[in-house]
Amino acid sequence: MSDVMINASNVTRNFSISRGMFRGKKTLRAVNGVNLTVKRGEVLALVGESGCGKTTLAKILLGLLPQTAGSITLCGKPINEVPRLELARLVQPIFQDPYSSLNPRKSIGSIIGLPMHVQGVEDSHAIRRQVETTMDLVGLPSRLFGSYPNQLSGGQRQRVAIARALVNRPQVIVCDEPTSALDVSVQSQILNLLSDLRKELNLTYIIISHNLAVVEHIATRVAVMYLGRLVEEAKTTELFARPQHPYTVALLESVLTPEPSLGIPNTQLGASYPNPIDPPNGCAFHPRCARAMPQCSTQAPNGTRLGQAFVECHLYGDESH
Amino acid sequence: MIIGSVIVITVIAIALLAPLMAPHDPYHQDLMRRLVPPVWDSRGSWEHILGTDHLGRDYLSRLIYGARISLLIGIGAAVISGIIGTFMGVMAGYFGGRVDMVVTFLITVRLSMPVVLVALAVVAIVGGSLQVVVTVLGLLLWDRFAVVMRSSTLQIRSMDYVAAARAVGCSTSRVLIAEVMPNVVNNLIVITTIEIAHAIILEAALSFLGLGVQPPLPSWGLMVSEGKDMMLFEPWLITIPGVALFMLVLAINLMGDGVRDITAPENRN
Repeated sequence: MSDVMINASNVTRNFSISRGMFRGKKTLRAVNGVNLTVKRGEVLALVGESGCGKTTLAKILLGLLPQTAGSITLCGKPINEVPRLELARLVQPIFQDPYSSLNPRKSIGSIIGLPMHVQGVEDSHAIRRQVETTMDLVGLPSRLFGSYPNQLSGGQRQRVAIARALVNRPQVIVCDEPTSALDVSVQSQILNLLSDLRKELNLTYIIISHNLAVVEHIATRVAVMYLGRLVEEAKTTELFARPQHPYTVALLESVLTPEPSLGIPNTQLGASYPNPIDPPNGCAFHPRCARAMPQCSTQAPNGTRLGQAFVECHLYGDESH
Repeated sequence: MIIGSVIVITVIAIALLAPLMAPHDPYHQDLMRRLVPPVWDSRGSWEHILGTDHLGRDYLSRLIYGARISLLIGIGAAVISGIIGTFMGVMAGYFGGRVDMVVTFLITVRLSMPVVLVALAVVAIVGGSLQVVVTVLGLLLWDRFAVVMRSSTLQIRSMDYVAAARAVGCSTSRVLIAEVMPNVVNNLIVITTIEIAHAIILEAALSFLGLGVQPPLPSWGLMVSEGKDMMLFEPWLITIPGVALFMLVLAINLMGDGVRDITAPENRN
């Protein structure tokens, strides 16, 4: 099993939310008992509504936030025990907004070279060479070496962010909505670049996205999150062809078609997103579920394996427990 | 911006070259030639272009030497308070939580103290001298630095490039020095110029009240103070140092705005 890159078991992250001086604190479970396995070379997409814990999970994987409970191993090593610099060599982020992910005071060359500096590379010629190779790899002309981020377009900035993530040749890249801040015309270029780089450098991706078209295009597996829980995980083709969980069905139905006369799709979701501080009893999705059954409001469903896939819903699997 | 810089650079040059520029010894008293009006007055003479004061000292020379005192106090106090305030503000903004609570409390305590009264009390106890005035003003003027640095650091802290630097493995001090500081430095420049001007005015006020720089050192505030008795009969005694103060403070503020505009990253091409 040496090709398992990431193994997360029962990862939970709580935030305590202050509700004013006299009302005490409440716990918000941003990520609640997530199990995930990602193999080398896979592209796992995390999808779900805003506030379902995708970004928190990504920050935990990057070592930016400690998890409250559960364990994560990266290349077989527990993530909390890996030293900071070694972790930085293994996993790197690409952020959503290339306008805020590049320090406006630094030149492109020093932004991309920063990870090497931090790792203790002293030789400035070696850094420059590696930075220029990486710039070439992501399709940035090397004349931009001395430019500043405000002189670049959105797509070029995102390429700089990708180059920074790649300059030390990490194993895993965590992309938090890598294309949603970009023009539609640039989105596909960046996605194709990410795909090409994966093949070239044998990378593993975790991609967070709202955009299901992006997910279908690039991901090999998809994990659907709802209120901090992983409710369904399956191969991309499988999930798009035969979604199992009612939430996944609604999510796929919610995609807008290019045909305006079809109007806004009705997802049957009705009620708004529940308050994550005060999640519903039983299955967290039951107040909005079109196929809710009596036990859904009292009993939390157990995860069920359906072949390669995983789903957490009372509709599937053994109902006896 | 250009006008401001020209005035500030001129004043700095005058202050540095004071022994060469001043036509007379600023401490030399000539009791026979007291209160000679400036050259544009019918009673004035070219020997004392800006006249003489109540002890017969050449007013232009005192004004020139006074620029040294004003600049020294303004820059000294701004540097001391800048170091204190920037450190506290950046810490509070970046770390938040308890650190922020403590710093915010200290800022509130500081804001509840009237600067002039505290400075007066300290000078009255310790005794007035140039060093005491610089130190006291430096220890009292850090509040604006702390407030502004805290809020701008808060803004920068949530930027993705700070998260990226941490994910790359940067230590906290490296994140603060290389990622946060360069992005708050343009605010720091503006506050520094404001505080230099502020300290110069406060020194003038303290000297006017007799508790700042002690005579016979020539300070612009002291000159206004010494001239106030003759205000109705010889108004130039206070208008000349007053105009000098006004011009310097205005020029420093103009220059600060200009420097901020130049250093803003969106203007770099």
